[in-house]
Amino acid sequence: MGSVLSVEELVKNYRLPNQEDGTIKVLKGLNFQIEENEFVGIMGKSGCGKTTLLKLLGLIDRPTGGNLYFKEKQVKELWPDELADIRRREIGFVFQDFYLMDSLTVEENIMLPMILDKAEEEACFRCAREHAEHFQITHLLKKYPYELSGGERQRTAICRALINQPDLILADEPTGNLDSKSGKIVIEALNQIHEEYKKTIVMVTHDPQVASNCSRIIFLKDGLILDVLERMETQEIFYQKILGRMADL
Amino acid sequence: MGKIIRISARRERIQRRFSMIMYLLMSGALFYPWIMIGDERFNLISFAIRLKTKGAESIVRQAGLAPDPSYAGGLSASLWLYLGFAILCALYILTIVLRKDWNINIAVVLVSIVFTYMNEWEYMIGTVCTNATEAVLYPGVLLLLSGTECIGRKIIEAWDREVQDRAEHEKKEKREKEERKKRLYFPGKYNRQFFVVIWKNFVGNLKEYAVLLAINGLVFAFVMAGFGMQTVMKDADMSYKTGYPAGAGAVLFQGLTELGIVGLLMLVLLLLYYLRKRLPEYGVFKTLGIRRKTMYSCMSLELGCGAVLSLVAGGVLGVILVMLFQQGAGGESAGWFSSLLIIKAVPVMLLIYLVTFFVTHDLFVGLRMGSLTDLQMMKEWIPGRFHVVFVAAGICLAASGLSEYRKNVNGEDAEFIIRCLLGVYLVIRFGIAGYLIRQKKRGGALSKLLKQHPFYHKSRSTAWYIFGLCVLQICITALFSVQYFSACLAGDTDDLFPYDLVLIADDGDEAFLKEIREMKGAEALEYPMVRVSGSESELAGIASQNIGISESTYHALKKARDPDYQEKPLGLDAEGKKIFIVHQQDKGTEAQPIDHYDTYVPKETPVLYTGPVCEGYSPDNFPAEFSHSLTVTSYYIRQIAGEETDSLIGVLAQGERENLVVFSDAYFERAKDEWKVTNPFTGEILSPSQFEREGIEPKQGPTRLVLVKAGKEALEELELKLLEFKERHREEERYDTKVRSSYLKTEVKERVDAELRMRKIMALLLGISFFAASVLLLGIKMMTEKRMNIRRAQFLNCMGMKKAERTALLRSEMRIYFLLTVLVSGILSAGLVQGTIRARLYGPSDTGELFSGLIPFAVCEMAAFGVIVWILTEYNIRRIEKKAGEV
Repeated sequence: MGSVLSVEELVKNYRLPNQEDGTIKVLKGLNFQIEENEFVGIMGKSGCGKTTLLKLLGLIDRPTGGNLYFKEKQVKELWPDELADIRRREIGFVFQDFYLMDSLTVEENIMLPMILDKAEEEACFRCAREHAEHFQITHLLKKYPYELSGGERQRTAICRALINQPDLILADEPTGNLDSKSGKIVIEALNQIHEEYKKTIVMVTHDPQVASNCSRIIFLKDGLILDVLERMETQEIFYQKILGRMADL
Repeated sequence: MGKIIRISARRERIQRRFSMIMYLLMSGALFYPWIMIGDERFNLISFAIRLKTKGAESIVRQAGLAPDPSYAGGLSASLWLYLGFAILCALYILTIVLRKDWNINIAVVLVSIVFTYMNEWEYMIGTVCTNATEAVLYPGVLLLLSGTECIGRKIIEAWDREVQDRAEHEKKEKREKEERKKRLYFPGKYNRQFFVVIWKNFVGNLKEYAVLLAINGLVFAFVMAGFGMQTVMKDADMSYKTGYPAGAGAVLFQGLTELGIVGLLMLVLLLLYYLRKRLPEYGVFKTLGIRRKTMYSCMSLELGCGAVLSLVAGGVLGVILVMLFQQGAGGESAGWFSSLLIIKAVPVMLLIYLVTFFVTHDLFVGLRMGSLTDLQMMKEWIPGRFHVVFVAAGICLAASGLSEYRKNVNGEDAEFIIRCLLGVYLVIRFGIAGYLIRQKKRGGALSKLLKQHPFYHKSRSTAWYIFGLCVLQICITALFSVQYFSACLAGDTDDLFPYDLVLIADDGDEAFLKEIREMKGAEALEYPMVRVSGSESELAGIASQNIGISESTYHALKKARDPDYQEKPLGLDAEGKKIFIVHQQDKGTEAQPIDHYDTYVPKETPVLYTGPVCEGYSPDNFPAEFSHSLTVTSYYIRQIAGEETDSLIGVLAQGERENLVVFSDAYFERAKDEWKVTNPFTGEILSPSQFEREGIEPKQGPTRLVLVKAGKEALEELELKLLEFKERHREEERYDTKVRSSYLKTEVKERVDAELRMRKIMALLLGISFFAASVLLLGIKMMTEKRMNIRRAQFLNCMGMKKAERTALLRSEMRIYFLLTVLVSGILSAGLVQGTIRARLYGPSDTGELFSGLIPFAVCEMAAFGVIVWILTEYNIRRIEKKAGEV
């Protein structure tokens, strides 16, 4: 099994505007690998660098220092359009705020990555329908995002993330804006993706219950890895372990 | 690699050939018989033989020099040097043939420098040569050839390296291109759905896009209209023909500049708003992996199409505006619409786009508007201390601005309006902050929390919006409306020109004046005058020129205008320190000080001289304490005893020049002869002996003010004779094209008519535009705060607040905006209008007439503004409540 993502001494700084030497060190040298078909959770307090890390792993942002390899390709050496190609074909995104376009129907939102990949029109419609059926939102295809509930929007976002059959799914607090019932549906959907589609998933979350679905948890604190927890036992015991570890954050 | 080697081999071949040619030339030169002894010529070899065979003494004697044993040594040394040079040359040629790179050419150059330098030393060859020039030039030629060879080789080498670098670079580029092509291979075409998605996404923002387009179009329409109107006005605006000071063209230019500034601000604001809304949507495309080229193409197409559409729509609107203007103005300039108009207008608009782009870009990046964080949600900084100090400073600043603005001498300068506005900003910013913080500290603040929270949370934006609205309202009610109603005050242009012809004559025109006096159908009034000139001509370019008259002439002119005029003493003194000024301008023209200059700041106590401008006079030549002293200079500091705005002989230069300066009768008599003791170039007082010694001729200048009333036929006859008069005074008119020796009513009346028309049109256009800008500013405020207001309404809805209470909160916020704007702009507008009245020296009847138009207009305008605020508020509330109800 090869690694999908490999991180060596990853550093990310942000410059503060109007300050000559004002930089915020968000990530201070991270090292880890994410193997194929893993379901990895990233946990930590607000401001510890979770979303920044996810943006780097999703090739939306570039690291300030260190190395980041996507399927053994050094990200530093890739051109912006190559990164765009990888994002379009090999990575699926699920965000807390859904990131759906209100001016497009659910169907159009789902097939957007395929459209951008110059796929055949028929194939776009067919795949969108298949995924909608799988996540039980076929009846919503002609509706607009603002007509949907939070859970329905997130399922739309999941369909969109899967439509190009990417190897990696990045989820940024996918249940953050949802009620417990919708959250459960979304987590079930993510588990399904992991188990049925054999996709690698990296998920940022605050919720230990949601995190207990992961096979491994990376705990971040002040831009550094505090601990890594592997799931060896039942979900319930793993959940208890996560709770215990969260006390140190 | 092979190519590079080939290039190097080629370079070496060229170098070798070049060196060979140069050295063959040098070798040839070595055999040239350049040494001339008496009549006989020698080359270096024959000279060496002669030296060896006959000795140095015979050579020296043949050269006609005194024999000296040192010549033998000197000449031998010279020959040894040349021999060394020749050997080195031969060696170098050998190395070229053998393809060795031993740099002997450098040694050759060094030796040639040595013999060139030593050739003219005593006892050396150069000193025995009869042909001195050739003897100097010859070693120089050898040095030049050897030096050229050296430098030439280096140039060839550098050129070759450049070629190599370029070849390498091209190769690298080609490689990169191939790699790029391979790595970024993305075949196929986007399907129909792609265009549907892009289109639907674009249509989702159509409303904002349409507003952006409309403002773009309006700005271009104004630019087009400006150039079109300028063409239409060209015939009517005499400033093009006579160098008339203000003119309709200047009014138009000023108005369009103001419009341009507001248009630019609106464009920047709208573009910022549009980008803030659109970029997150493009952000989704970017995250989902759209190619950069595709995304930029979509964005460029969106903005480019908008620009083209607005150019077309704005162009059509501009043409319609000019056509309407042409009809209203009665202009007859056919063919004003030409490709030249578009050629002029489009680059101006592109320049506006460019400035808009850079300003927007800087603001967008500087304010981090591209950040995903919703800045609307963030609390803005609120000044926590020194509120009273800043509010007091603001009031002082505004008050000082107003007090300066009302002085005639300051000529309604925009600087003072800006000072007032700065003060207003301080009052608004720190006044609101201070009030809110004080309220918060007091007990019972919680009851007002919801009402005051938007102001507290967004104190900076609130201050800017209220300030922006105040500025726009002040411009409408205190500037453009005054411009319009004061232009109406100007009245009939016939009244502004009581005489058909005004002549600024001197004693030499007696014959012409006699003809006028005897002419049938013409009636001439004659008054004594002196030219009154301003100072600082040398520093500021053109000094002002006015007409100096005596107090009795002033009364006579008044009487001629109004038979019921009652004489009152003007309080002038016999020393000429006190003067009375009649600003000859219509009531619609801005206040203008007597010592008006193009670049000079006028003074309350003008420095004036009685005579034509002394072009060499500068206050730097004379200390200030002497400038009123008769013993040093004729330029005196005067005190203004009184002044008025009137047209006693005609608004000849709209107050910029040709005003009437009234002196006491006693001083006037003395002033008439002042030219006799004045240096006409510097203004310095000279004694008769100094005039004689320095050969300076005194210069009298105009002495007679002739006012002619004539019938049509007599006027036609006069116009013909006027050419001769003008020719005689050409020298006087040379100094300043705006000051003339004669003014014909028919010519000037047409010009003033055009100017007044233009003032009214521009005031209307500016008023409408600024009102539209107020509406737009309010609209932008509401649109940018919509999301925040929706969240607040949703939250309050969840907390169980009734709809009526929620809408009352929004209404109350907008009511405060409206009331504050009306209050602040009302106070400042009143101050500015009062200042304008003072500065323009309006009498009670003029003031009454101005207010009779101005006050109803201001009330109606404020009411219209209130209605607009109400409509926008209700519309906004409906949209917010619709979303709030969805929770």
